[in-house]
Amino acid sequence: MTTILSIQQLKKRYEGGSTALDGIDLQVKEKEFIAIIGPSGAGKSTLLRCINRLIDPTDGSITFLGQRVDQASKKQLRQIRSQTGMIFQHYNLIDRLSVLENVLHGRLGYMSSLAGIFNRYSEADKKEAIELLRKVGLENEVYKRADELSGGQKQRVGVCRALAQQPKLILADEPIASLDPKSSTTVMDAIHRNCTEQGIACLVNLHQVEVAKQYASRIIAIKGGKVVFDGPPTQLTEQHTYFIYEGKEHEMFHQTKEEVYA
Amino acid sequence: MKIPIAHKSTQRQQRFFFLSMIVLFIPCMLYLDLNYMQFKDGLSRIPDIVYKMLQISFDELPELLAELLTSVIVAFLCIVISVLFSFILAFLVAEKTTPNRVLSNVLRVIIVIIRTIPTTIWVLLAVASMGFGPMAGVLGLLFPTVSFLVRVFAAQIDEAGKDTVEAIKAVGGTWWHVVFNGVLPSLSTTFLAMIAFKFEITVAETVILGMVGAGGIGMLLQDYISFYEFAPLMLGVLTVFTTLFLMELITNQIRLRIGRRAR
Amino acid sequence: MNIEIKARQRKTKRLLSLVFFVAALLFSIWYIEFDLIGFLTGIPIFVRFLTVDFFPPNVSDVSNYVRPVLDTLAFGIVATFIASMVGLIIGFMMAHNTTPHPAIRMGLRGIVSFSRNVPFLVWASILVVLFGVGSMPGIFALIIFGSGFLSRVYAEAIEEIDPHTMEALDACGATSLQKLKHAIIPQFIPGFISWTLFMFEITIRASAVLGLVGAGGIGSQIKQTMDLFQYSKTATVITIMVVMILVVEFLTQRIRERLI
Repeated sequence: MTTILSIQQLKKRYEGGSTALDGIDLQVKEKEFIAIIGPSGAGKSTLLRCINRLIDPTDGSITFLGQRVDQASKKQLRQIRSQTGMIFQHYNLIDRLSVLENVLHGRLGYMSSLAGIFNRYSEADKKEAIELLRKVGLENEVYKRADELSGGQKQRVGVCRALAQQPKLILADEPIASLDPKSSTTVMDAIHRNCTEQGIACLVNLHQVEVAKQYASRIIAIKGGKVVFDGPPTQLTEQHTYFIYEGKEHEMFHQTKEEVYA
Repeated sequence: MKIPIAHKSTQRQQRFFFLSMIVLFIPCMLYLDLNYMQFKDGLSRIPDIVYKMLQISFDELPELLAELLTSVIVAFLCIVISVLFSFILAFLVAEKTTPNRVLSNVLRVIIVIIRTIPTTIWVLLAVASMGFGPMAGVLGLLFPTVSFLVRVFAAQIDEAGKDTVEAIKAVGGTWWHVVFNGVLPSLSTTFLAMIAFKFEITVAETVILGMVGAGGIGMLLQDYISFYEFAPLMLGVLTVFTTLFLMELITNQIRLRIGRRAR
Repeated sequence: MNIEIKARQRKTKRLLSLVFFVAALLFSIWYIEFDLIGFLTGIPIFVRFLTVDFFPPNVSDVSNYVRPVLDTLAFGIVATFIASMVGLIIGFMMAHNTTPHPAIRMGLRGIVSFSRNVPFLVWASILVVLFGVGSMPGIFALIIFGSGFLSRVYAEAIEEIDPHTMEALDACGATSLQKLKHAIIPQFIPGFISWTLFMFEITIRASAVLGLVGAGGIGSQIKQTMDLFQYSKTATVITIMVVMILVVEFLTQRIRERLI
């Protein structure tokens, strides 16, 4: 299997001196479903945002499909971004537009600036977008306004927007952190099923270890901006998790407790 | 057949708004029948006036500053007197503290009417009643200022006083107890913020009141304009601008500080 | 010990501000020769003046006021429309998340602050000198003032847009123009509608005042009737004006509720 993303000695220091990433090395192969776990403030979010340069890294190299992301020009960066989908914790939909328009935003990266401004989406793209929505169970919400949806539905729209890009890689930043357990399952299922079916590699930030073990083919743990575990879920022992969440144990149990009471 | 993508009613409503803006604009523009020659004449006068304005001299500065001070003082006195009046009235108007519902509603209607008449008209009326001078300015401003302060004070009392008022009423406190022990202590900072805000607005109003005969810097500006003295006019406009700009900065600071203390 | 000192400090501070306040008050009264007794007796005289001299309103000239009312409404619509167009352009160039260059932003902020902080009655008077008496100076004064006002509030509305939604479009590989169309404009529209309607309310109120310096609108009727001491007619004009303002406020409120 070919490596599609390769990160070497990635570092990020924010203005003011705090270090978010302290030398990350990471290889992602085709079709891998990787969960990144770690306490809040460990640098998970920063790592994902460095991969598509929503945040500029301070040092190190990122190679995606043979292209250097960290040295990409504006035009190259646009092309790289259109091939990586992203899913956000707070969905980041445009509230006053329809669900379908929000999904079609995934196609903007492939269109000329002008065509994008005048909504010249191709009919094939529209059909594809509606099909994606149908697959995640939102066929009745296609023409609703995004702010009319519940949290779980919004996140499924977010997933469809990422899939509409027909990406090689999906970056999901805490996709279920704002959702109730039932919606969380629906959303994680949607991400996992679509990525597996279409052979998309996926990096998911999660803070619930249980969920990570359930879906991931590989787990990476980050603590203090460094990788402290990298391997299949079966090798992640309780000792590991206690070390990873040392001092922040409550975060690990947060979701599972809710599930018990749900 | 193309597949539509937009949210129908949002799109329709937005189109309706923009369309009606244009549909209203065009006939109104034609109705007003603005004269192109008049426009051209006006434009051709600009260079001359700008040239005269740039001959700025500071001879009139002392006079301008003295009248500016008058304007600020009119605003200050008006606010002080208004606060006294509106304090009492606000407790009569606020739902939680009013001794009588009917009285409260009558006062509310009067406030709406007073508020609707622009301040400058009030001053014009006051000048007609009291004669020219700063006192007419204070008198004219009194009505809109009181009505504004009563409205916001009453809203604040209703907002903040809910629990305390009920508690005091529950232990058998009188109306005076409710006002002085229950509501006032918890509200003084918000009231101060409101007063500062209104003071800023009132100064902006008093600087022009002279233009309708109520003393202050506006009177000077009006004189300069009627005698085509553009150089001192420029100085006057700059003085007004600087004052209002500084006022805005200062009240912003005060509001920030009060906000921080309240938290 | 420490607490005691702090408490005492606070007490002196309070006392000082009180002294300062009283001094300012006394100085003010002295400076403008404010006659408190004359003022207090002036209030009932003023109220009597308003109730006796103005009532009953004289409605014999009502047909004469139709034209000024229409003028005022047309003023408001034309000025709001043009000011909103100017405001849109300046607003987008002034908001920190859409400005083409920080220097442009600073320059525009200065100009806008100037146009807003010079009272619009002053603008109107200067424009009367330029264009002569009539509706033209009134319209231009409203446009100058309104453009400044709308530029500022539009820019603030644009700056309030959630940056996270922009991040999402960035991640899709959208260009800045595409982001403008698909993220900024849809989220700015409620603010645009609301502030534009508010501007319309302001222009209706303002055109009542414009007439006082000879710049047209319904205010000129107020000035005319008062100069002739026909206060009962003034009462009619003011009543018409109040009704007009209340109706406009009611309507804009309804539109706002429907559209947002």
